[in-house]
Amino acid sequence: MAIAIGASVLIAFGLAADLLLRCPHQDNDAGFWIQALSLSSPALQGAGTSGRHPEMSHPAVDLRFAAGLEQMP
Amino acid sequence: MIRPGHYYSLAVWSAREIQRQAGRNILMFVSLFSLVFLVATALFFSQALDATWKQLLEKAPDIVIRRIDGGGWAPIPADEAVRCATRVPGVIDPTPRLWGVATGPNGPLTVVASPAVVPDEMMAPLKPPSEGQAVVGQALADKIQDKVLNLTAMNSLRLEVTGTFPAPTLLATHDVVWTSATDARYLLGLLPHQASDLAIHLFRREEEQAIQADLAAAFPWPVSITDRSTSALRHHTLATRLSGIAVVVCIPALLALLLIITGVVVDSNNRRNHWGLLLSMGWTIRDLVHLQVVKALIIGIPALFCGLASAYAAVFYPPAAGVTAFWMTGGERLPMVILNRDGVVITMLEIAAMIGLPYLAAVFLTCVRTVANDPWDLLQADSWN
Repeated sequence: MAIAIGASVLIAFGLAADLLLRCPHQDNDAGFWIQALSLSSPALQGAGTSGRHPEMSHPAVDLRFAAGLEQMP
Repeated sequence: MIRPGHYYSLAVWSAREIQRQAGRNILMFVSLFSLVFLVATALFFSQALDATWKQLLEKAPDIVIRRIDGGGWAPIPADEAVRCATRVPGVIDPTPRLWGVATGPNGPLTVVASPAVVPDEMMAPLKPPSEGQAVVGQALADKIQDKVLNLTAMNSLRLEVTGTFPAPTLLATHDVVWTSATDARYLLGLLPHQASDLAIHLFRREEEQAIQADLAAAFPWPVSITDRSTSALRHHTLATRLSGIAVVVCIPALLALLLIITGVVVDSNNRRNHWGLLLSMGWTIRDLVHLQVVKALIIGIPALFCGLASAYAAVFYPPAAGVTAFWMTGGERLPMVILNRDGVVITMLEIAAMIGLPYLAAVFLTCVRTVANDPWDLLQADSWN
């Protein structure tokens, strides 16, 4: 019983501390570089995909011939 | 005899009862833990993904203008484009961007040359790249040998790696290569007066859609205009699709919850004679109900906390976060996601209510229903009778 209560309290405090300490300003650095480099989207998807570079999506442009890319990913 | 309200004694007695059926109770703990872990991982991830995109896209340009011609994308004359954009009321800070996709040692990379001035505190570990140099993201840092990076786009280029973007910037710079403007132009085949496209910020963000017709008319060539809201909507749609997957994960989880509740009911029926014996010895119905609820809490609360903590670590702590993202998205590479406090707390409360309350309700109701019978009838439920 002591183990159950102790473990629960420990985990609850750990989660609360982590939420309090990590949350504030967590995305500041990444957000700053997105702004500084004028990136259109975060690096959550692979380079060369329309999800990563939404400005490359256009119905009139064939993405198979992306300018500047030697071979498509 | 246990005095009413003496919860410490009840808790000790409950712990002894749990130890008496250790195997069954360990299985109950593992079942609840697995259930909470699976449901929490899916819900945490979809919520975090949406929050990550929403927060980071706030920093992106409001509108991006690209020139198109019969062959697809075309370079934009930087100075002329800035002049044209400035003429449209509501446009602030038009910035010609030099960027493109190049083939690196392990596939495509995003090559950028920043015209922005970066404050010293953000640049502390880095130095802006000069000609022949590059600063690379974490994805490339481990794969580069002898600090030399070979890139191929319209032309091939060999660069010396002089720095790596720090880990906290991973969400923006994971596979980014930052070079000098001269190198970027050579690599992408652009002339000195050309840029890849034009990024624009608006005085009023609400005008994103309305201003597009004016912008298109302001340029002397055909352009393609992409606004931030459209990108945000696309990402939100993907996050919503993942939420749908989370709901699909919850369906078998609810079946598992039903089986756990059935197990609780069967266990109550098997212990009728034991409860009849305790009632005959002077225990009250209230004591017995308290005993069962405390017993359920001793198993359920640690299972709930362990499940939530494991899911939290799997979603928000790299490198486990990368593995979870790969699993959840079916192969997308997501280095990490942003921890959103409100969203996480609300999700935790939802899961606690969704799994904890039915479990406790099953324990409480079956116990009340069983012990409300006459002690003699309960004693007769012994297998000897």
